[in-house]
Parts: sequence; structure tokens; C-alpha cells
Amino acid sequence: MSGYIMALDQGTTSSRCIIFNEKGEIVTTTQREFRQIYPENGWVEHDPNEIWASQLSVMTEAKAQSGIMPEEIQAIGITNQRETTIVWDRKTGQPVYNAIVWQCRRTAAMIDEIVAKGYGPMIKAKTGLVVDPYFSASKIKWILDNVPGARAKAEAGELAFGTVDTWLMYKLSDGAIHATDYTNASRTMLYNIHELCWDKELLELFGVPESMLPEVKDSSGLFGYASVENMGARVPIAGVAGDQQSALFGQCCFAPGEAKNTYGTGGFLLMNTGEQAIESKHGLLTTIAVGLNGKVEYALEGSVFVSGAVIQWLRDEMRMIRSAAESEKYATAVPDSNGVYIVPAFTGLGAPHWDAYARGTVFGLTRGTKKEHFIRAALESMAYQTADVLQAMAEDLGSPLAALRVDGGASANNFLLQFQADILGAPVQRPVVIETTALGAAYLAGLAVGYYESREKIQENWAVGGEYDPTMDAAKREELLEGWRDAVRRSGGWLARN
Amino acid sequence: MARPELKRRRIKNVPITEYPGLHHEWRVWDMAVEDFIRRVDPETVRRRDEELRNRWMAVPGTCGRLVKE
Repeated sequence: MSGYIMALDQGTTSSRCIIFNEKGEIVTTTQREFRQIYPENGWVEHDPNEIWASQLSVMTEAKAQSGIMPEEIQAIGITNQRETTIVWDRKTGQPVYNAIVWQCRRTAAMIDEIVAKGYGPMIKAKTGLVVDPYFSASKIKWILDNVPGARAKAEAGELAFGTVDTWLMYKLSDGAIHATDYTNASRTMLYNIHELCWDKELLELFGVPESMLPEVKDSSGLFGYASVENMGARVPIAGVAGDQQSALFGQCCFAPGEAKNTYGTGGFLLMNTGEQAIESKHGLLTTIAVGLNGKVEYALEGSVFVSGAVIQWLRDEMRMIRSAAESEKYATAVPDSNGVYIVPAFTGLGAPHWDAYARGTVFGLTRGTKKEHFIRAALESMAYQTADVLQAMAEDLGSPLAALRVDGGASANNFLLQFQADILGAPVQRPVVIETTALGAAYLAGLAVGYYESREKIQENWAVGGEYDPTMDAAKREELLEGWRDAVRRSGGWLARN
Repeated sequence: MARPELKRRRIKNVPITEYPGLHHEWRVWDMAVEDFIRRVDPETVRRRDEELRNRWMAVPGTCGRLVKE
């Protein structure tokens, strides 16, 4: 099939538009940042109209930049920041409040009460999620409880809720679509990921009328059409997935045990677990990986909370490097870290250690420690933390990691990826196209309209940009890991002692 | 990211709603992460449950509804 697929990548700080061809190659990219609104300590909001305006403008710009006519766009795929909550008036199409962003902590006390009442295990069992303000449920309740008249309107069926994908589809279709996909629904904390329905008990608990909720569909399938006014042609919207799930799909991690890591500020790891929804014994989340052909596949999700952030810290606070790229030069200037370990537990330790009282520590300093060793140890910490999460995932799944596919800013760091492979004892692969989030949405949309024939055909598009095979011998690996485990243990509980 | 930092790194046109204190993006990130870890950390959960048990009590005849003591 000729033509192109347009992927809309609506992230936390910017809206992007990427046009792909049938080989999964990028034809053009456009991007626009938008305001972050911090009304109070710990609160984060976006203006939904600004999200829409920025998205529409980058779509227009992408068409102009590439010279591609609207009729040549075979389908639109959408991927988005997950959990961010928008409530709007069905009659006016106007939001009743700003979008409450996933990071926002305003509902922490509400969540504490829910946990205190003992609902945590029930919610975890139904949704696969740790009960936390991250997810949409408490944000919807906050809007209904705090925006004058909102609850009455919601109960009268006059308000609609959506995550950002839903909002964009609503706007793109001039109000004709009110839908989401399984992956986004699974992040609301209102969706039963086993029975695949909005859960009545959870809706009651959070006081959310069912009439507000979007229809949940396959991630790949026809959601509706973008209007001629917005697109210049009637174009099908045919693929939708939350950003991390979209990246998993874009990395072609289609089989159980295949995993991806996005090395961003944090590290976001997802492992495909196939048709099994696995309950983690290590505090990982169970989530829907994709909805395809009327069936869903599941994933385990874990995060490294301080990943690329450790490099930003070296640059902005420690001022040891001038750019992130410089870290590789320093790290490779020495043969090893000279026994130095950095545990960047700036905010405690996440999966699989879960220690809120841990804090960042540096071990093994001697008179011979140089800046290069310190920087190398910081990069190595990213790999160790990733290995810890993957180990937990493999134990939950009951089978070892086959290979790790990587993307994100720090995946450009060759030293990091080689060390990652060495510590994992498994290959690490970086694709040629590292825009995997947008690519996943494009694949989902393309599959639905026949632009891409099958997942197998898509897999043929996946081209390795860099492959890193483990070269470290097992004894050395175990020695290094033993040191890391010891460092992590010693960093634990710091706040409790002070 | 604070404005001087943006200037130093020659990043232009990044609209920011000022929040008192530097690095508000980091502050929000850190708060979110700290809170999330607390909700999973078994030791924190144990301490919190104990504290809540002391602060709240179930009222007989209310199907286990918890009210502030």
C-alpha cells in the first residue's frame, strides 16, 4: 500500500508528530513544547486546549514540511502520556478544569484514606496497580469534588472523562469519538484488567459515574475519523496506546520474555508476558501491553526512578561534565570504576528493593579515585538498577530474559549499553529508529488499515542500529554484582537512622 | 529547570510557570517518586498502617466504617 502513517506522540512536555513510511522509516518530525503549570507544591497541570493546539500545529507543520498531502496519510496513530486526566463538558467541548498530570500529588491524602480502609489489595488484584495518586481514578474524583457543579453535571451525563488519547480523538473528530484503548484504560485504576471492563466496585469507590467513561477498544482498530477541517481529509484514527506500551510495540517485543528499556530521566521497563497477567512478587505493576484482534496481551512494568537523572545530576549539580555525551568519554578513559559504586537513591530505592528510607551513597572512594571513576560508576549504576528490575521480572515470569531492546536519550551511550549487556549476561539491542514510542503507534494504526500486513512483517522492519553482546566472564560479572548488592544494602534505611 | 540554567544551556522559549524555589520540575518528580516508593515499601506500609490504626478506629455497627477517633 502506498502512502504514509502519521503518529501523534503527545508527551509530558511536548507534542510531536512523526510521519513514517511503510519500512517504518521517519519521513518527518515536528515538535512543540507547552506550558507546565504548577499551581501549588506538588501539583502539576496542563491546559488541555494548549495540548490540542500544540498537537494540531505540529500535524499541520509536518504535512507542510514533508510536502505530503492529507490524502496520502493512510491512518493516524496516537500515543500519549498516560494517566493524565481531562474532564470536559459534552455540550461545549470545553474542559471543566486543567488536565491533572500523572505526576501530580494533590490526591495523596485521598489515596491514604482508601488504603487505610483496606481497599489496597482489592484494587491491586483488579487493576494490577499499586494504589497511588499517579493513576487517573483519584484525579477524576478530585475534579468532581472540587469544580463547582461538576459532580451534578457528571451524574446527569453531561461530562466526559478521558486520558490524553481520548481528548485528542475527541478534538480530531470534532466530538464524534469518545473512546480509548486497553492500554490507557488499564492505567486509570478503574479498569478491571482481567474481566476487561470498567469495574463497578471501583467506580463506586471513587464516585465516578459510568456515563463519563470512554468506550474501550483494541489498540489497533478503527476508532473513527479525523475531520476534514482538522486534517484536510477524512483520515482514520486506527492505533492508540499509552507511551510505554507503544514503545514496547515499536520495539517489536511481541513474545513473552521480550523486554524494552527506555533510558530517560527515569528508566521505564516493560516485559511482555503474553496472555498471562502475572502478579509480581517484587512490587512491579501488571498492565495491558496491547489489545489486538479482540484479545489482550499483558506486561510487567517496572521503573528505575533515577536513570538518566544521574547524568543530569553530574552535569547540573556536580558540574563534572558539560554535556551528557561527555560522560562516555570520561567513562571509557579508565578501565574500570576502581571499586567505586554510586547508588543514586536520591528519592529512595524503587523496584525490587522498595526502601523509602534509602538515600544516595558513594562507596569505595580511595586517594586514587578520579573524576573518571566517579562518572563511570554513575553510568554503571544505571545498568545495575536496570538489571535489578529485569531480574525481578524474569523471576516473576519464571523464565530468563532473552534480550533487552533499548531506546531513549542515554541509549546513544555505547559504554552504557556494553556494560548493560555484560551485567545482564544477555544481548542489548538498539534499533536504527529509536523513536519507538511513535513507531509503535504507527504500527498499530498501520496494522488496522492493512498498511502493515502483520506483526511478522513489521518484525522484518526492525533493524539493529547497535548490538552489544556480553563479553564479561561470569566470575567478573558476579564479583561486580556482589559489590553492587552490598552497596545497595548499605544505602538502605539511611533516613530511618537520622 | 531554573531560568539561569535554561539561559546557560541556551534553551529558549520554554514557557514556565514560576514555582518558588529552583528546579521545580525535579521537585515534582522527586515528590512523586518518594510517594510511590512509600506506598510499596513494606516497612513504610507497616509503619503507616500502625499509625493509621492509632489515629482511626472502626465504629461498631457501621459495617467496619472507619471514623476519626
